[in-house]
Amino acid sequence: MCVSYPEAFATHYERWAADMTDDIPFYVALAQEADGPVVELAVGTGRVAIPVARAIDRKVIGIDSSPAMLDQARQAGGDLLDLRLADMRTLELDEPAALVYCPYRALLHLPAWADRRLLFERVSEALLPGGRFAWNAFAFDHQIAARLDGERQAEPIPHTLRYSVGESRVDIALDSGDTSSLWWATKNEWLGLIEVAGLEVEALYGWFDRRPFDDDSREFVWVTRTPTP
Amino acid sequence: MSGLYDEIASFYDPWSRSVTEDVGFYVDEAVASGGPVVELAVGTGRIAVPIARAGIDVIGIDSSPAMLAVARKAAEQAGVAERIDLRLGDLREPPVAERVPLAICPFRSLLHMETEDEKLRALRAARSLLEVGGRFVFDVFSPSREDIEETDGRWLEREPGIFERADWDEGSRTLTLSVRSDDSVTSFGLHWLSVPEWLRLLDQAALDVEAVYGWFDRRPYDGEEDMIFVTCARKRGTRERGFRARKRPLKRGRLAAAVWPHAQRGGDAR
Repeated sequence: MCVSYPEAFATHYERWAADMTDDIPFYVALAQEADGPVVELAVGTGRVAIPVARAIDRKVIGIDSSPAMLDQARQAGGDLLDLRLADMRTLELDEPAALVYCPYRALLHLPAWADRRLLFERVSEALLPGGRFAWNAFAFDHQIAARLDGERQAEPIPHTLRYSVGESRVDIALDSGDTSSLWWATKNEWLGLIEVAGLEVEALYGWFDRRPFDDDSREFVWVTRTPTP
Repeated sequence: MSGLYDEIASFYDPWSRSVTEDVGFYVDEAVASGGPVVELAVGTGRIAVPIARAGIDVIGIDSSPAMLAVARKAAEQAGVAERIDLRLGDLREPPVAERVPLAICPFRSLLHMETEDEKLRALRAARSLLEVGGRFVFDVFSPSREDIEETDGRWLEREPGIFERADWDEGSRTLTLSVRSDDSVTSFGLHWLSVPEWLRLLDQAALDVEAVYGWFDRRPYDGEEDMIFVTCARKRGTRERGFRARKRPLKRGRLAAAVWPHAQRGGDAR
């Protein structure tokens, strides 16, 4: 396991995320349908949470485990957000939520099944009956992985990707020496998490424009909910 | 599957002659358990016979009558026929009423299960054979890129006169293995998964993972091709016990979106 220096990534975050914008209207629409508290997991710099809070005209609860990220979110829109420094696996809310969402593939920072199961169970417990949990994550494709594996890329900041397919893991090494890892999941793994957490699938899309997920989709966009009595 | 193994039963042992390192491992596990042991996909008795010679009773399940016939003969020749109870059946529905301290499924046999649902059925069936605290031990693989590149589509002489060819499909994660001896060719598919996917299936089958080894000498798994799972039946009603997420700090790069091309937006981004 490599040592990570998350603060080094935080300063570059906006550059990485510059071309990811389609997710904002999708999560805004879910928040507008939420009748109760709205929570963003891995809120980061507030890239999604701030437009969401403006759209619903109430504060969004934003959870992140990085003080450097939360500082950026506070500067960008502190009055719109209720920011909390916490590990999302230990999520606890004072009041049940109508919507918990996790954009930007951030669930993939949880190493594999055990951590994810814990998170899904916590989220399920924190939701109102009929409350939603939504997230997106990339769908692994071995041909793309083979093409990117080991290749240094200059943009947005110089980095190299290393895929460990047997462990469903990709390591991102910046030229500066900082590293980070992601663990991808298959559709079956997501369905397993949904099942053990007692959630129901409302929709699985292949992108934020709500096109259906199919064999060519490279993104999972999941909307799940707790059962209503 | 039984048809396939009926075809290769006659040269299965010569074909797998070089595979020996798993035998000692499974014998050690069997002796430590005290037995009896259920071996799922017992085949020709390559492992069951040494276990029986170590003084442990074995119930061996296989779906191929021809393989079982070879196993029966091997057991007789080794003088351990009375210790090996061979039964024809499917490992997803093993014909075993007994409850045992150890079930094993050696030599990647679980990878014959094509889908995750079938693998889960097989794991749940293995779990159902165990007495309280009993263990289920099995080995599987997930190929490395080097392994695929070295062997893909080539006939390699595995043993004198016996050729093997591996055709890897990374998209469906299926290895089509063909074995040729004299003029007969037999092919079958092995359907692999990654370690995290196995951990998920084991959790859903109520099997707690005690160890994941990278080889039969019990070195810890470290991303190699082979993986050996030692699991223990979770006590009923204690779902969370033994199930603890690692409490180490999360890695927090925010690079998820950058790792993968936004294929839906810019076409193939790279």
